[in-house]
Amino acid sequence: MSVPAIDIDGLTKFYGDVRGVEELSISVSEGELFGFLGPNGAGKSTTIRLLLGLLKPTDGTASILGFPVDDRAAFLDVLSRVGHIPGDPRFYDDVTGRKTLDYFAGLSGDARRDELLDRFPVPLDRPVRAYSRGNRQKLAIVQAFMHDPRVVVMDEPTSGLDPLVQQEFYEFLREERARGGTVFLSTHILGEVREVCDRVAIIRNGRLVAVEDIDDLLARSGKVVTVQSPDSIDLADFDFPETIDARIEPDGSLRLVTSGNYDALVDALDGYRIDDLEVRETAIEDVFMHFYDEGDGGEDGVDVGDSAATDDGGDAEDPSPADAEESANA
Amino acid sequence: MRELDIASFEFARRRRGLVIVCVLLVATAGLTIAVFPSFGESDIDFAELLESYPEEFQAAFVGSVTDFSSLEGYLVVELYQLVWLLIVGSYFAYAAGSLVAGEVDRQSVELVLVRPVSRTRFVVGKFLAMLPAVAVVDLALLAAVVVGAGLIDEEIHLTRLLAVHAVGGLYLVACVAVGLLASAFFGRVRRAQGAAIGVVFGTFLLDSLTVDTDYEFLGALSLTRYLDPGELLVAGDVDWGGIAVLVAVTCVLVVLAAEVFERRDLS
Repeated sequence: MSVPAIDIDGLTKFYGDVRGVEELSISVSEGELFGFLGPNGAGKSTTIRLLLGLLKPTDGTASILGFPVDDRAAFLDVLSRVGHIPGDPRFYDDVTGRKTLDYFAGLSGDARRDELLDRFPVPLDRPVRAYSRGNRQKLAIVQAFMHDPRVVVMDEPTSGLDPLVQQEFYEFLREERARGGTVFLSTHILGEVREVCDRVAIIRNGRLVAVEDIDDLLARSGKVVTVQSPDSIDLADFDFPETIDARIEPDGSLRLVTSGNYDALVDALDGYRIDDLEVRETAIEDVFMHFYDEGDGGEDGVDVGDSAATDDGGDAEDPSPADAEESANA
Repeated sequence: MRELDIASFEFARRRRGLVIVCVLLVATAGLTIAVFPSFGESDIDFAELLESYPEEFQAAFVGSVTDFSSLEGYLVVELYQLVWLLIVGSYFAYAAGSLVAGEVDRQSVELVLVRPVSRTRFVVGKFLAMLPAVAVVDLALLAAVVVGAGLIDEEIHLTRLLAVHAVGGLYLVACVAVGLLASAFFGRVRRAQGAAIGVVFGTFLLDSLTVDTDYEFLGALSLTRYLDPGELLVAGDVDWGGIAVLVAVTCVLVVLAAEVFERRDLS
């Protein structure tokens, strides 16, 4: 595995004075399921468009399977081994699903079309205009994988899919990994990352915050302690060195993420009457809250609602992540 | 040949619009020709009438025609100068305005250009898609005129008519190239189409309004300067220099469109 499947090096894109992404460096090995996580407008779609050569970087470079995107001729060649699901896939409204796939097949092949359609069926003989969001997304999956690519780059691939199809898709991605395929998927849904990814890069405001192994991340992220008390809780009492995050929830309860030192916690709790106390493993959402809460400004506003909703495997929400990102990039 | 895949897909999507344009054009030609017999029988001296119009108007809509009693001269004034050069020309510039910008605007370009298709091939494929469209419209009008002339028992000079349609076809292709460049340049369909139709329409007016003024050279910017349906159909004079300019301009515009599109950000 000498050549990384995807290599992003110092990638920077400014739209005038507005930062799209800055100094992004990520390397993805072949056979990896790599998550690219960030709130809407963080620069995920910009990164993907840069990686695929749709945008020109202000600085830095990116390559797929060793072919740099700025070497036009060589990169065109590698694109035959790349699949892509855009953030909000738009087909040709008046054209049927079948003819749409025929067209793409003519441009890059369709060795696996039937197999994929069995798995992700769509009304092939109806014009795409009549497709539901979910069917459009399934068509996007089929076109991205039907030429049996080695690397697939996806921007929020599960948005619009119903939970059953979503699970089927996750299963499919794991099979692709087993076959040696590389998947790079952006998402703002934390549960998705936990469900399928080996590693994750976290991006906010166009900058890379961290690249982490999912298991490591969960292992060293401590526990979540929830305390309900009739007394008013003073956060200062829980400001230990081990505290990762402490906050008072709207209902007045304390929510503490801590990496240990339970003695101090018990001592601190001694001063309060306790109605309810819960200590649990961190969900991945708690871990990521940590990355988004600290640092420069809260302008990108991580969607807390999302993390709650996706805790149980994930309802797709926010039907138009691309729009939000679009306006941030404009 | 991925250009041809792109071209045939694009052409297929434009078939319905094309049929409508053909029907409208054939109907216009049919009506125009149907009126010709009564036009010839009336006592009005149309040559005199037209001469009473301002020169600019004559330049725009009459061209070099001096003989209105023949079907050829009549058709040049009533059909080729106005409907063909201005309206059909503007239509093709407008239609071509959505070729590239339409895909960028709709973002479907993100599904095509992530395949082994260079942007140049994409642009060329889109251009090629319009060639059969021009041919269909061209032949539809040609057929309408020939059949119409037959129905009213008028002789029409077939070779010259073919020449008009051959050169007129090149003119329409050049209009497509204008639209293509606008389409490659602008990210929004409306803007690209507006620019394309503005250029074709605007330079047409420029060419007409500057005739016999000190600014006549400005008319050289207009595609209409390089063909003269009147000369072709009435006198049978072929302007090879004009044809060369139309072909050269088309090539330059297509190359420019590809180059502009290669350098653009798509989002």
